[in-house]
Amino acid sequence: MNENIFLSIDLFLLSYFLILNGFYGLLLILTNPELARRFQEIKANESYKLLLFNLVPPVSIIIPAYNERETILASVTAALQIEFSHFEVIVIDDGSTDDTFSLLTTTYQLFPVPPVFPSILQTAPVKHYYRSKLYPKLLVIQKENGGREDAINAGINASTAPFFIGIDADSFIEPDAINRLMQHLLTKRNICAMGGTLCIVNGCTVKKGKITEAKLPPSFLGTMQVVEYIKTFFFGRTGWNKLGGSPLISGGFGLFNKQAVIEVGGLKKMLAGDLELTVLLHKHMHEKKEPYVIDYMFDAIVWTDVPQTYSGLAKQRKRWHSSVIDVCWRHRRMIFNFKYGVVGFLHIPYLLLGEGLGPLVEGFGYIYIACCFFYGVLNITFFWYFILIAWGVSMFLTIASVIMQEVFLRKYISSRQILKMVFFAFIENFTYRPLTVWWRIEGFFRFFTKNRFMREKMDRSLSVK
Amino acid sequence: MENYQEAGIFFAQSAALSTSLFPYEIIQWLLIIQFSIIGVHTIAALVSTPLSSFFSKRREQKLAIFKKNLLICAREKTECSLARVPPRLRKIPFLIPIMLQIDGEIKDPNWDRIKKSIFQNVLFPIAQKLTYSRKWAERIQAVGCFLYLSDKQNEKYILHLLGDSIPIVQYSAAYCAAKLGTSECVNAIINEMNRSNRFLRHPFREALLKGDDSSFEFLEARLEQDADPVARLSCLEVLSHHMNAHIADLAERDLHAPSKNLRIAAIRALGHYFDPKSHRPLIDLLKDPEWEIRAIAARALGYLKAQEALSELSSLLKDPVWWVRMNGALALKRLGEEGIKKLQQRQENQSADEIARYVLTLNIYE
Repeated sequence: MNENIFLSIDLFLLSYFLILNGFYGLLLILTNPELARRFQEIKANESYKLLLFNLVPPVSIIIPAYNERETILASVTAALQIEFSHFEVIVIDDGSTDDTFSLLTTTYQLFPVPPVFPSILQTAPVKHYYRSKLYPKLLVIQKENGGREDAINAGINASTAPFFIGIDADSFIEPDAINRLMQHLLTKRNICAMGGTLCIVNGCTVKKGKITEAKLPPSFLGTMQVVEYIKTFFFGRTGWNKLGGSPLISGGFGLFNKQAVIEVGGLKKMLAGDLELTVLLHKHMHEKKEPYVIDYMFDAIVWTDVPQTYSGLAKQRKRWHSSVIDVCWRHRRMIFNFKYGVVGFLHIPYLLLGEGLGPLVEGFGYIYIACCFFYGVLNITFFWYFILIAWGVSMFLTIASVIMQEVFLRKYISSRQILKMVFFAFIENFTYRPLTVWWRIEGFFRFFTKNRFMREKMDRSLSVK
Repeated sequence: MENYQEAGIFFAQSAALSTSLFPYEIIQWLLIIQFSIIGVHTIAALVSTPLSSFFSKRREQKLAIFKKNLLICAREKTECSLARVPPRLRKIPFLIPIMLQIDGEIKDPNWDRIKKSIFQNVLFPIAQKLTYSRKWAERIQAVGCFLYLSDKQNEKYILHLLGDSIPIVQYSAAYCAAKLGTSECVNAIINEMNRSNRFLRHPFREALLKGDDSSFEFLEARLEQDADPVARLSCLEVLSHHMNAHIADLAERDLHAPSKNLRIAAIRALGHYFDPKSHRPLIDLLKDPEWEIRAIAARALGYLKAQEALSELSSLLKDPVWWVRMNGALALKRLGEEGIKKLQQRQENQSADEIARYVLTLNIYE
């Protein structure tokens, strides 16, 4: 009897491990055609330049800001100096209580314009619209506090372009990021949304909104996150392009078709507005039965600020995880539903079983092994083999992603940086990963408590002028 | 190896797996393979940057030598041979940027001759072959080559590329075709334009406008003969930037067509041509039930500075639709002093007042 229970637990753990890592391997394989495509795009780069670039559709860059006095100016400066002809920058001051707005007013010489933008999406009341005397492309909206998603909806109302890009107020957009997205926009039809890579700005040198030198952050958690971000963004997201579209376009940097977003009712006022929006877009397009593309572009870059302290990171991860569970719960009817095709059979089950329940299974495995060891029934030899295989798989994925960033992003390229990243990949499984598992388990249980919709203010470690 | 039977084979003691049949050797081999792959990748990560920079440097050196030779040939008026360029570098993405650079540096009839012979002998054959390639990145190279130097002999290939599935190849091919400006090319562009949606047809229009002037005649002929509303719409959209009296007459026929888009295009076309004759039909459209028609007619009248529309335009300020109010107010501002006076008057309606104040702050000539 006991043996059967143990056997089934063993088989469950082993098969979960094999299926999940097999899927990761599949994603890594599917990344290769995308890389080949990117190589072709780079080769054809000169031909793109031969064309006049002003035939691409215009883009609005929407920057919601709530108490972001440290970074808002640098972020807006970076957005205003992108290498692209048709764009407008819309900054939304979401009822900040610090001097975010007065900084903007004095720096850009804002003057009020009457409220004449049609309100397509419902938002918290807008107080004033401002334009800048220095930059005609800048529009600042001052509204009452309603959350990040509400602020983006207000920006969508004011935008005049068919596409918009949402970036955070603590992020710096790379000057050629939009050109990269536009190249993709000109080679595929029916683009619904596109995502880009988030790189970590901590430790880099920022001058006037430009990253002049990319360096790894000095702290342990910072460097760990650089390695983690490269891994998630490269092999974890690019492969999805071939599997029916990315399951998550990050709110930190994503380009959306405004019409499609308006059709699904804008961003929902909840924690993971970006994840919810992506799933809603998939759902809406499947219901409309129209072809659509939700792609992820790995070499359009936005630099962002990440928490450097233990408590700040813990808060962020708990929030992310409870929001993943939240979105899966909202869209539970889509799971294994023929109506939604590949999204119902792959995307949502992956979000739920791979992302949502993954840490629970992993945490349970740790406890289970500890118990087995305690009672002396652990097969030590097999245990070591298993650990080595698991360690090797995750290390391989990380190093493969490091090579991809070296070839395509060319940000961390000195051999010292690469050796450091390989070393961090080496120790990740024993130091950083158990920590994230613990945070994500906490986040999972936070979903069932009442304060799951709380959004904490991130501790700023960065101050850029 | 004996203690496996006692301790169980997996994490815990389990009967089914507790045999020594469990394939440990395979796992050992897997581990060896895995870690050797990791080792190879680590080394690759370390050497790839120096290697790639070394090779790109060497390629650039060779291309620089080629460029130098070309410049010497152009100055000394001698024939140039491509023998010095290794076959690996005889590719469109390498050669065309160099040509563009030399174009910026010297202006010389001899260079034009050399350039033409390089295109005829080397680049056009490559591009013609790449036209039928299955990779879009190669088709885009082909079209880039055709775009750089337009030649009637490539018409067949350009027309083939115009029906491509990748938007940017299509747009570039439209540019080439518009540069040639033959009747077949113009009609093919219009046919492609008919098939596209609102955003995607814009580049075709730009292409035709920047292309050869002879294309406008063919467009006018097509507008006169074709009865298909979509084709008429496409023609009118292009011709509205190149108006004459005949086109204005043709456009006036479409003001009350069943298709709304065609009506809008016709109003726009009339708005681009200064002719007092067309003011009256446009003013009549300000009372149309469709709000888009009202808005665009108001905008057209503003461009035409039609003073007789003053009272009708000011009544548009009370329109329920925001866009109509906005365009009406903008048109009033464009009319000049009279219109601005109208805007400065106190409006009884609150929304009308708001829009009038906003428009007065705008700089409409920016």
